[in-house]
Amino acid sequence: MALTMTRTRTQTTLTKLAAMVANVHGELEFVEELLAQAGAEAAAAGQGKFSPEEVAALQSRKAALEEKRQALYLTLRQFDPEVDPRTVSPAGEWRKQLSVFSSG
Amino acid sequence: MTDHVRTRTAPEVKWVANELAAVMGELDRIDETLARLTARKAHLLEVRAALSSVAGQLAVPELPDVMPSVRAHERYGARGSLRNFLREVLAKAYPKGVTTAALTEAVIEAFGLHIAGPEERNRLRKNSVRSALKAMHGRGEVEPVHGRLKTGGSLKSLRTIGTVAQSGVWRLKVEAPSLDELRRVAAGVLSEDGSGEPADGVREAADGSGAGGGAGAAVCREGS
Repeated sequence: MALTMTRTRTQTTLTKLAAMVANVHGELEFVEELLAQAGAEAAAAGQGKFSPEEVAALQSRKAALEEKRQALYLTLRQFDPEVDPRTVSPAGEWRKQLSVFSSG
Repeated sequence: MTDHVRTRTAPEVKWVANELAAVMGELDRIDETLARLTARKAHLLEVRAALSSVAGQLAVPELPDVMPSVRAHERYGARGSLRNFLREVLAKAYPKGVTTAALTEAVIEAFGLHIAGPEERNRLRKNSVRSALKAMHGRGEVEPVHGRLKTGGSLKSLRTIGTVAQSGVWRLKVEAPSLDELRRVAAGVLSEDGSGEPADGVREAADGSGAGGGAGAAVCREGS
């Protein structure tokens, strides 16, 4: 099948890209909440439930997610310049891969 | 009165000055193009990095290494550029229509296309311009105003009465009541006995569809 600019630009692709953005938004939101908790606990009591290594890992994960987000934003804009990827709501599908459940 | 000192510039000086100005103008144009292309290259390098990253997220990290480069056909620049241009041309010409041939020439000039010969021009007209116009017609943006040959009709006879153009004629579609609709409304307003019959001097719609009577009757009912 010859690849053309139009033929490969499908709704399925748009949905998949949007879902990827939504998952990155969701995971980033979760990581930022954890970092905020760690920061607040450290400021209040001097040491929270997160060890320095865990905080460093969270920060590293946040940086990686921000890079992924930037790549997905550029890709989505390449697909359709009129789509604003920042308006994609966060999703929770990423939890299934990591088996992470919300605290509570 | 002050003395007016007339200066004369030698012709060779004039020529050198003119050539200098033109060369400097072309150099400015080249600098602008280089700046634009440099910015465009920087952006595309970012996009390539982004697409490679997404390929990794889609579990095909080898994709950037195996895909060959393809010079994609993007004659008209951004998506929708051709239709936007056709819309602008038709809007300027409104209420007159524009032939497909004229639109094709305008597209060639506006987008700086290089057309090798009449066959390529025909392909552009049929495959790109006419296809775009048909799609716009499907969405109700434009309407064809060229005559159609009816079955059994002859091109010669239609040419005689001047209703057939060699090329289709297209016009921007504006939501406005047609003359027939205005006649029907007038017929309904003028018919005071509520019979739905048009008043004297008001003719029915030319197509004789009878829709005029129905519309007229509907207007009478509203008025009664």
